[in-house]
Amino acid sequence: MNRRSFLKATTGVAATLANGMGWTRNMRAQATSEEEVVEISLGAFYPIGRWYFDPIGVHIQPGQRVRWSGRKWGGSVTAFHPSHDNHELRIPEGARPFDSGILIEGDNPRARFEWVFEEEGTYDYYSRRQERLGAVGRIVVGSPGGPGEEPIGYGESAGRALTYPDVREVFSWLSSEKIVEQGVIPYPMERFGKTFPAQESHF
Amino acid sequence: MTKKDKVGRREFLKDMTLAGAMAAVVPVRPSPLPGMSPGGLLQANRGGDWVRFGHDLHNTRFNSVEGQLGKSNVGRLWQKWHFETEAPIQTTPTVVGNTLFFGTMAGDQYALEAATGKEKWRFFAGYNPEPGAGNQGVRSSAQYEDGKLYFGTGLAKVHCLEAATGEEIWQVQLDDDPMRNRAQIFCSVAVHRGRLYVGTSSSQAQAVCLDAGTGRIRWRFYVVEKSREGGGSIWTSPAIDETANIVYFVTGSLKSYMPPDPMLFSESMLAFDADTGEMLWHDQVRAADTFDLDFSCHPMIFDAVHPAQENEVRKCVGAGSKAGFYCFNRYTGQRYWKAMLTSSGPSSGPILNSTAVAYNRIFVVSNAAPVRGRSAMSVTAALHAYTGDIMWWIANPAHVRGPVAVANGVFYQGFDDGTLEAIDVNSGERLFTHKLPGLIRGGMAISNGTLYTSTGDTLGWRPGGDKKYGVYAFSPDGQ
Repeated sequence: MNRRSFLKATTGVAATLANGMGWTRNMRAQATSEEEVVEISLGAFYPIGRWYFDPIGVHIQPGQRVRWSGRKWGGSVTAFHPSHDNHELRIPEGARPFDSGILIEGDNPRARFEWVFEEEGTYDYYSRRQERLGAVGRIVVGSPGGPGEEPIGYGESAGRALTYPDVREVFSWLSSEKIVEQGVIPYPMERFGKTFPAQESHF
Repeated sequence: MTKKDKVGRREFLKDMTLAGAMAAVVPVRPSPLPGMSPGGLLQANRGGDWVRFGHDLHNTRFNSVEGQLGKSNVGRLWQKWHFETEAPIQTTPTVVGNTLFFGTMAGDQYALEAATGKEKWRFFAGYNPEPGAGNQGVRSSAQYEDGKLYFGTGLAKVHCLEAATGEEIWQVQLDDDPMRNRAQIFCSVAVHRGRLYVGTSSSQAQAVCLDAGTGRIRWRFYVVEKSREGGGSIWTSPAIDETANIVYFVTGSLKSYMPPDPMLFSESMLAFDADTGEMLWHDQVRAADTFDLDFSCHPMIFDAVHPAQENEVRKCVGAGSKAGFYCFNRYTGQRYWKAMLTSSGPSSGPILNSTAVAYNRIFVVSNAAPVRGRSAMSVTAALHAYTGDIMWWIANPAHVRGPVAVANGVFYQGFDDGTLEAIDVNSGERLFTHKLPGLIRGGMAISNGTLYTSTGDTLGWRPGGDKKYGVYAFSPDGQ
């Protein structure tokens, strides 16, 4: 199997995983060629109460295309940008902010969103309705850099939207160095999974 | 509908009338269990028949007048007949006189002779094989009322048939765009005083009241304002307090965790004026969650008697969700108690109508999610209806994902592995165990000395396979 067919096979596997278990390290693929499309799924796994992007971190090259596939109703792929819900800027200064809109909802059966990343640097993004649950991801294009390398929440003092604790938790773990080193980082279910509070009010 | 073995309307009605007359002279039996009141102080039973999903309008799933099948002879249950189907069954059998009605996931509604299992008629309600149609045939248990049979379908329609012949009287589509909204009716209908109440599962779920004679919509309540914000499905049958004229619905989770607008009615108990649809009270037990903790068990109406003071009675409505059983004052919405026997989760808790109420007790089957290295398990418990305290509990070998039933001092449950069990309501002692060749998803009905149940399958089922399913009748010694 050559490298291209390997990549094709692994991305296919990632797209068809149905129960949210995501990629494994054996499947990982470091996509470096411009024509290779990197696949990321967006979904929920109810037993751990999480919405997530899988893989959560990907290293690509400038000009490369990324395709997100929604597996559940109501997610989005939205860049951290002041024009998006007053979020702090976490993509390169000159880069266009991307926003898929809400995927797979009533009048919008569209489940996929694609974006070609031209500018080098670090891109952070989130899912609008699930951000509070830590539904964020990072793309490193070429070498890490730009506002995405600032500490998470750096814009709060300038009046940008506050950062959710679960988002802080994810980005404190998801470093660009790790992404570059590993190429693809699967969503770590065990690390970020939650259980429903056992001591919910029994009134 | 097949012409074979078709019974005439007159003959059918005669049969019904006879059953009704017999029922009329059978007194409501006093509780066979000393020190316990019969299934709540309200009685909504009619003869020995099992006329609808919840047995009665209170959704007790308790046949309080059953006197033939009980503790003394349940151990001698033997298969009386078996009717084979090509498609799985997820409905509770409706038993009226000598007729048994049930639906299949292929979209058929059947009528059989209850005594022999011989087919009387079959009505095809439709099936959409298109992926994403959200369609699973007929999973809404039928209600018999005044010579008519009412049920919903996976195509989000409600049908009214002539019970004697299977001829259609009317049908109505409840969702504006069933494909777009992924709409279906899994909820079993409740028919009372010429009105039919039903809920839909959809990205914009509805609680609906129809005119039972015509199918015309009388009132409708949307659980969410816009379909794009979606969810709040009504997965199970409403219950009716006919004295106070209140209909109760429970709702499921939202499809979005951070919806753009307030969502006040998901994962809620809703109480409506049955005539006007005016909301009398509601209680949202969780605003939103990402664990899919639907109310997936039917609301049940009961009067709970204090353990020490017989005159102290709570007027209750209760329902099971995947995060536990909730008990409310049915007139004010005040929460009385909540009980959860296993951890909360998307396949946990009392799920898919595995609750019943009888003898001042709530019977709850609660599943525990499989943990790594450990197979799925569940527990069955009897809770005190007034306090929610556990009176007894037993461990189960597999998950229960179907309705349960109570009659004459015996509790019945069916497992995912096909095991059918009868249990002493006093002690939790197992009195009878039998293995069926498939999952039990439609629950069971106990009527006039016979237990009726069926085999089903998972939601992945599609037409065309070789696997067979069926309805089963059991009676003492198969007589």
